[in-house]
Amino acid sequence: MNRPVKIGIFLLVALAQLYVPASMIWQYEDTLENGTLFKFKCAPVDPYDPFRGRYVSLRFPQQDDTVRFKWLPAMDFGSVFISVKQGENDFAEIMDISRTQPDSANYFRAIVRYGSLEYPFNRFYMDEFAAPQAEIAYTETLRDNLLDTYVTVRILNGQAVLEELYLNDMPVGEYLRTHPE
Amino acid sequence: MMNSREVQSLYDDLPALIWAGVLTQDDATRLREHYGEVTSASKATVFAMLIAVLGAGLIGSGVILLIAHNWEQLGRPARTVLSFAPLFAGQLIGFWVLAKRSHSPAWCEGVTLLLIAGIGAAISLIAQTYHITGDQATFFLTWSLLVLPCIYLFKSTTGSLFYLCGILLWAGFAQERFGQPQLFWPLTALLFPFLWWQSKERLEDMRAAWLSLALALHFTIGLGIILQDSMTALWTIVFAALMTIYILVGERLPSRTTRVPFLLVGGIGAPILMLVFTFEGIWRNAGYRGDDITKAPLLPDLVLLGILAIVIGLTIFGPKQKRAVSFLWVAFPVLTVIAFALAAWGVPAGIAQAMFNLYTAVVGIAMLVAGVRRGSMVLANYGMVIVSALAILRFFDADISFVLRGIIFIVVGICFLATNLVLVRKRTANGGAA
Repeated sequence: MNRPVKIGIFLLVALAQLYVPASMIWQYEDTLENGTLFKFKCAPVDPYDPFRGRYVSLRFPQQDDTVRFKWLPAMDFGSVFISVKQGENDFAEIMDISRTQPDSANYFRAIVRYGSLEYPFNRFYMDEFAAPQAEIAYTETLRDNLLDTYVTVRILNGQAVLEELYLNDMPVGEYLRTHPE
Repeated sequence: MMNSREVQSLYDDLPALIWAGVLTQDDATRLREHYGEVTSASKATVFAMLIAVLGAGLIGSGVILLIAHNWEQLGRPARTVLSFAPLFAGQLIGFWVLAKRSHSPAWCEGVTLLLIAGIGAAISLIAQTYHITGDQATFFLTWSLLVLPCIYLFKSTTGSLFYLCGILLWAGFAQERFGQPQLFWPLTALLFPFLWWQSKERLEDMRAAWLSLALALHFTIGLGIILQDSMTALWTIVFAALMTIYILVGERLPSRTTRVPFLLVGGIGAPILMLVFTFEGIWRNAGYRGDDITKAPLLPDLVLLGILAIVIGLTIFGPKQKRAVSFLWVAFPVLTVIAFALAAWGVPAGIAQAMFNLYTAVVGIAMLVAGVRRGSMVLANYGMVIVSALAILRFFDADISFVLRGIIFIVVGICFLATNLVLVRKRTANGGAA
């Protein structure tokens, strides 16, 4: 293969390599710009992903098996579509869980693994020193039942993008700055 | 076929052979014309390549860590630009390498590693910026496929090794999430033209050895992942056949650097499996006993048939002088099929266990005898290790009674001593030292 041909092929390869992450960005930015805002109550735990750094792992009460069993009792592995609507104070309420794509715009895909639901926005990436502090803050204030923890998610045509994690109604970064102890 | 070191050694011997009258000058000239110029990778070139790979990797990692320190303060636009920066830089360097340094393995391997890091970093950092959990299987598949063209363009061994690892990781995650990753085979096959091309260029240096070793391990681990959900104990037949294939293929490959890795993996894997098969528990639950055979997944059976066909083909069409040893190894998957069938039909697992104890002892003794006959300490020790390991396992095997163990050990020990006596008398009768 001569040099000009190799360079031509590499040009195409380079464009493909740039296209994949660029298309991810376009999709997510579109959702953040034009998606409907939903709040999801959650309870964080703190693990580590070697490829993407420290994150707060999020769990949502709606992932509970009894919630899924209400709609889809017999399923160990697969993916489902969860339709939501805005309830009180923009908190999300599940309208339906189905195996087929719904007609509404406000839905997202979740994975069913070993019978449990996994949401696509179950990680909030943070500075590696702030993530464990966020977990400690939540754990300590949970005793007093004061902390209101939730995430805001933008949903558009099946795409769900996590916007922010809130502790006691404050963005987590701001909460940690104002509560250094 | 001689490798470059062997050819160079022949060239070094030519003057002495001419002087001794073994060859004429014309013969030497014809030999040189036949084998051509010796173009092996010099140690300096390999060293430069390794240093380039290490250097590129360290620089890339260092830049990423510096950026990570300030990541939290950056907004999404800045993060997006920085996410693309390593990839874009790698691509610019790639263009320059193709234009000016495409003949340099050091530059080609270095830029491929930079591109691998750049692609992975771009996808990971964007996923982190938007808090995307994503899917590990898709991540590794996308990463590997985007690297694949660079392997061909830059003739990169590093890229090939990464690609094989990437496909293995994809298979592991896909198996967990979606069930059997059947694309494992076609995805692996995408690398075969590159491997064929490299073998034709007669890669005699460490790159060929690394690729062979990576391939041997790739298929071993990949089959383990794919067969996770298959019929109980089917893995015994598939892995027995796979290790046998490695040994047979290793015996037939022309180049030492590609031969040794397959012989190593097969030569270590086969005895380990044989020793494992000497335990009754392996055969106790084998087969479809009690299960609905129509629900069995088809793919493992096809894989099994394919591998067995390769084993039989290699034995039948192999060179005659190797057939005696080859048949001994081919007996391994055949016996495994028999043991599996017996266990599946409800025959007591002790029969399969006894069969493998006998077979393992035969293989060990055969290797020991072959090593002594050829004067090969490696082969003799190999046989000795197999026999010794079998003896130790049976000595401590609580499933066999003390009496039975004692009798078997005594009988086998008498056989060894008797054989030794016969060999000594034979050597003495032939005039050799006792």
